[in-house]
Amino acid sequence: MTDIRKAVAGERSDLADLLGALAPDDWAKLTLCAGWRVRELVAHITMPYRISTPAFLAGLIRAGGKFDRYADRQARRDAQELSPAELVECLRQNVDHPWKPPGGGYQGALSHDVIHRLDVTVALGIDRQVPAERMRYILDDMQPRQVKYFGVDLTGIQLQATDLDWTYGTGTPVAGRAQDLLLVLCGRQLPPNRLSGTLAARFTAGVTR
Amino acid sequence: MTFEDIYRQEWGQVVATLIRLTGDWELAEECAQEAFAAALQRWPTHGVPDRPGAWLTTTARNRAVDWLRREAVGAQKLREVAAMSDESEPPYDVPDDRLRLMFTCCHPALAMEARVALTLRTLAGLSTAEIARAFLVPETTMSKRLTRAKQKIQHAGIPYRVPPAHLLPERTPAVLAVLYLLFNEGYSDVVRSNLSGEAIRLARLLVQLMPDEPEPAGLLALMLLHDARRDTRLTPDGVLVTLEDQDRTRWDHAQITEGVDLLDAALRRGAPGPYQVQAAIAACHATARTAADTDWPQIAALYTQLPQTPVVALNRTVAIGMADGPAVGLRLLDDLADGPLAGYHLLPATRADFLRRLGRWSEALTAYQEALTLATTESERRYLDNRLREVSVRA
Repeated sequence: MTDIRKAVAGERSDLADLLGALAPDDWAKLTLCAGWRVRELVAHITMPYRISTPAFLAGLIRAGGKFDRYADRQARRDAQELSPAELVECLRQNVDHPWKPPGGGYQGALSHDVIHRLDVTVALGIDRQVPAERMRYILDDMQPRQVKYFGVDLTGIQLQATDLDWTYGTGTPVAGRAQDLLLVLCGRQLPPNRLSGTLAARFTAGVTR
Repeated sequence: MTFEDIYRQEWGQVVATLIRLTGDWELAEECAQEAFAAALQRWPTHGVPDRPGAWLTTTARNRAVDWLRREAVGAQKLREVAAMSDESEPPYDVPDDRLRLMFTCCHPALAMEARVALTLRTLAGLSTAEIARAFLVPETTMSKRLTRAKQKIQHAGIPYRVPPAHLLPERTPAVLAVLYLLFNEGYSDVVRSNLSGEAIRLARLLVQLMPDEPEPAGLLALMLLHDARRDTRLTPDGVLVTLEDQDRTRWDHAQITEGVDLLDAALRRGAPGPYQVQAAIAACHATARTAADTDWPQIAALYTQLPQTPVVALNRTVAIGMADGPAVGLRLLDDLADGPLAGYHLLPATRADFLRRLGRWSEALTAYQEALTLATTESERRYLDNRLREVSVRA
């Protein structure tokens, strides 16, 4: 197995352990993904392992080709049908699943898992450091195209990681842990005091999935 | 490669290039024809050149120069065309030539039937007689239709070009319809299977040219998914094999993956049109590990997303019958019996299939007999005949 796939498997195992240890109440708490509780988010992460190609394509067509709309419908439906234990089990069974987001490769799969896991841990106030080598894969792979997808305006701003040798863009510095800056790139609203810089407050709004 | 193969493969390119050079459609076709006639005389003794297409294009161009010289048409045009023949390595197989020809043949000023006929004649090289047969009209009618279409292009000043970007969305459906027809022409006929390859090639070109348009990608995905099953659709001696009985291990799985990925990306552009929906249906079949695994409810639902033509209604009925049982399918078929599908062989063939699944042998026998009298291809007739014998033993 290649290193990147080991990283993906490691991330999924870690997430399964973390979710397995959550209190039942935590599953009903909101995440950084707008409108999704932990239940819907985990249903979303595990969706590619369950869904067949026909069901996926047909669902996408019914949603008018709007992937976000489709993903939301599917996550809500699955979250209703599957218990937290079933969702965790589904994740555990698929740590080696070869799913890749379209055009994203295994780096894309890793980003997907890491970002959504941060959506859970940051929202629940669980302190979690993403292993540096996994962050490296994701940051090295970060393209303007992905940032554009989330619609974040970074004009005149440079993101500066305090725990890794990494910056993004040019301009007034906004500094923080690399994993928090990753969430900024993905349009997530962060809790206060996680970023520094005169423009840090700008990233407290505009959440998308 | 036989001469026939070379003809099918090179005709469109030769004509497209000659139209670009001379601006005269009739002349382009005549010169192309003369070039192929010259090849037929020369190649048996001198051998086939390394690049037959280049040889044919050069020969056709020389004929055009001769003709223009004889007719003493505008000196400017003559210089242009003659200058081309001095090139030692003529620009051959410029993809844009055929794309130009495609968009011009599919111009909205032409009637749909004229567009299809013109594409099959000028791009695919089907003879007027063959096209006439495909459209069930007398050859003289088709010949007039083609002549009128070419005159219209010339007189109405329809430009020989790929339309500017802002016109592409409205001009594309006509091109897609023609390409799909071309694909099916080759798909239903082993002898002309290269037409399918040609359609796929042109569709790839179209996708390259219009990367932001999802329907061309949907059409390409649809073709790839169908084409991946090509080798399993007939027995070695030419009897039709239904989807259910095809050897799925012999499907081209790399091509299926390419088709599904292409469709996935196209759908995410947020405008699922009929080709994307049809490709999704094809993907349902192509990704089912066994016939029994087929997600028929999903397929039935997808058919509701298509414009409800009689054939779509029939296909939806098949899907519902497979999902909910043949008895349900039979009842739905009754509603279609007196409509526009009367006389269409797949109507009694579907009916026969449902009856067979229900074990109603003698009724199935009658339906197979009816289908057999209406079937249009030899491979279908032989398939139906086998089924007929199967049920007649039990009837």
